[in-house]
Amino acid sequence: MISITVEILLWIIMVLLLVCFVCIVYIMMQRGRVDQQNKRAKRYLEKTKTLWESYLLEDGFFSVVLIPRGKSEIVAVESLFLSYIHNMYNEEVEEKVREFSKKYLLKHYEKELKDKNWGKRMNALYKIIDFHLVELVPIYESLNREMKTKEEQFVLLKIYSVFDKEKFFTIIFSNKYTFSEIEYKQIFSLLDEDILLQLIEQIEELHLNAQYALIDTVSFKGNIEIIKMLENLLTSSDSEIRIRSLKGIDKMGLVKNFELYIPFVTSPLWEERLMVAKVFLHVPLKFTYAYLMDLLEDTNWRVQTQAANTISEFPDGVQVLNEFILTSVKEDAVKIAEEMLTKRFNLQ
Amino acid sequence: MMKNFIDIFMWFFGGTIIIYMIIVTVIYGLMYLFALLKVRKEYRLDKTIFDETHIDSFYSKPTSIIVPAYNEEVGVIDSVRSLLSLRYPEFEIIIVNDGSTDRTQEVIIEQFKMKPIHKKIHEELKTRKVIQVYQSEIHPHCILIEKENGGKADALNVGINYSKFPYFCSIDGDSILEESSLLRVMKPIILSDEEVIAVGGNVRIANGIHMQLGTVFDMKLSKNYLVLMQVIEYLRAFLMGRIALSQFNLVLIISGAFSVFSKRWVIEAGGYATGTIGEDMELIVKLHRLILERKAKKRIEFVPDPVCWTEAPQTMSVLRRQRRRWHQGLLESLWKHKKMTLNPTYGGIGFIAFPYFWVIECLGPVIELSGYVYLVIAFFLGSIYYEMALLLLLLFVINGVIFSISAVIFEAWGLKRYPKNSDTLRMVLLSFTEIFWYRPITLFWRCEGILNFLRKKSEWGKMERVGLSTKEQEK
Repeated sequence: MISITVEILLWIIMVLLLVCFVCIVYIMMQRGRVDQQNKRAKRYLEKTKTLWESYLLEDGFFSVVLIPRGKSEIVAVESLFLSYIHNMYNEEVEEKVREFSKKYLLKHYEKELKDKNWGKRMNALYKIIDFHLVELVPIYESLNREMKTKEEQFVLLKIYSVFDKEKFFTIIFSNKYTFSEIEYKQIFSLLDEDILLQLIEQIEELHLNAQYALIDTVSFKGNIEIIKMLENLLTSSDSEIRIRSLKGIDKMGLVKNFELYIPFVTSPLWEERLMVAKVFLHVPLKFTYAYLMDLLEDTNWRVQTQAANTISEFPDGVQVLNEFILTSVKEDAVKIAEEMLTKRFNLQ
Repeated sequence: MMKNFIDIFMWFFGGTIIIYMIIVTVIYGLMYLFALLKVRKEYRLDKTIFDETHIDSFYSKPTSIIVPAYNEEVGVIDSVRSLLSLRYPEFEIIIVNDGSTDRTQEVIIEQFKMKPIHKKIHEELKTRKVIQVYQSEIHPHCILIEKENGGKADALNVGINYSKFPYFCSIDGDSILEESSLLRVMKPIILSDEEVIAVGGNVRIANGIHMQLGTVFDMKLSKNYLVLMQVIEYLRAFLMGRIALSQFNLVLIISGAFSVFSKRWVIEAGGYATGTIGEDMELIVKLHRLILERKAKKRIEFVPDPVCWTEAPQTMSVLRRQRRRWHQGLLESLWKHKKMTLNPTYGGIGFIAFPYFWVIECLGPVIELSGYVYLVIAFFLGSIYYEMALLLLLLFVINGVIFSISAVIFEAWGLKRYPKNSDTLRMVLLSFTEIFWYRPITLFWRCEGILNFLRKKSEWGKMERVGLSTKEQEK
């Protein structure tokens, strides 16, 4: 029995060692190939550097030497284009890049899109956005649906947000695929302001992550028209939406309907109390004085600190805090007010 | 009578070790397979796409980097320099000098032009006394905290108290990060809507690499065989074990040398436990416990791509101390949370991770070392035991040699951090020798760690640093 097992194990080891040997040889050959490719790409870039500069930046002539031959030259052109697109915001250069890609890189990316390897497909999908290769979208759509992962659906939605708004709206409101908040932010930040306004009008139909991302995006873009919409969201049943709307309003620095903010002073959530203390910086102190005094005596130190900070930002804030220190019986609040005054004093 | 007894003993002893080794081999084989499938999916993906998108603070999360330093005068400057050159939109660096007795503090103050500042904080975790806070004049987002000596865990807790961002990254005082490492280690957190509360990155051995001003210039493997063997060992542990466990949310260890945490969750778990040897594992176990007790949908992950370079022991005596400590720390954490073992409340952690760590990682060295002893006894007893010994030896070969070679191949194919063919070949050839010297020695040291735990002997490890920068290597 044991001798049979020993024999089997010996065979297993031999086979495994052979597999390892084959893998090592394969990896070494692959490395050699990659080295060669890199060298070829480098040579191509050295040869065409001035021609590319002249063509893309100086209205120079297009030379046939620029047309990439083989994968290594395509990779070189791709890296060159990406560096121009990501580091230079020049509509003319981008147009030339798109035109060139359409003529000479389309076939390559079509092949990559159809590849079984997920990584290759993803890389090609991003190139559709970078080089505006809209022609590839229907080709990709026609591929077997099961092949598409969630990550691919995300890039596809990103593509639609740029090239096909109708499809974008259909998909985003269908909530068939849900993405992370940051992913939604990436999509929304590509959209024009009028599209964002349309979306915010129907915000409740979006997935919760998309709602959060949308509030953050519109706040980030800082369009004052959006304030009223954000104020409408302050009555939402979702606390996160209320908090983010407060954050957005604070970012834009404008309060339209003051009455809407008063309930937050007594909110059971400290995050809401903190945010309202922050927003009160954008309202004259005479309207918020009483509320800020309450917030200064809050049970949460973060809220207290924010209230003290907001008060100290007003021209007569230092005087208000000094009066508070003399009159308040709440030790921790007095300490925070004192610290704030010391901080102000140090800054001056 | 005596012969019968020896026969029964040898059969039982040998049989147990062989069955154990078969189980271990199957488990490692499965882990390798899972890791392979995971890396295969992403290995053609252009990872710079993610880097380029998330370099904007609107698409990432601000992070505080905490660098606990105790007598790190040789390595800390390079480490901080590497952090200053990170590609990340918003971060702060908090160096915590844990009462160093060498010139750690002086070199930091001198190098980064640190000036004393008054910084008021709300203490969320109880720690030893903070003496002074300094801020760099040339890099205002870099601060130094001088505190009373209290150990690494205490220093990290101080860093947490002083951090202003919702996530923090812990880095050893001698470790070097690649410029995209923080961005990539944060990826699971950024993309999971905070479902992931802790992520561990890949730790690699830096001895031999050429580095200047905190940047890795050239990848070279060390000429020291002991270091080289550790390189292979790290590849095995990080690439095979942790990738697979991470997929099922079963990671119990992410290296303290490079990991990111949600500050809120760590504070709720009570922060780093002071007075324990393996504070990094202890924190992960506590976090898992908290997640499961609260029935929260949270995860702890390991990502193989972001790399942190760290200095490894170059001598037997230092390595021995390190391994003894690591094993003692592992056992300490497992023992402290023993009620989680096979406890239905803790799901996969209780039924898979804990038994795995108990049987394979913790008691494994005792059983495996017994296997080596068995080989020697069988050699003297002869006859039938030769075959059993041969069987055991072959299992050692699969478990040691084959898996190590596989890990090297895995690295060369999927992660490509050592691009030279000669380096790959050196590692492969050295893997053949592993079971004859490195494995039994380290098994013995790990057993010593178990003994230290049983004797409740605490040993604070301090590695003698050589330094990684070119200047230091020339000395």
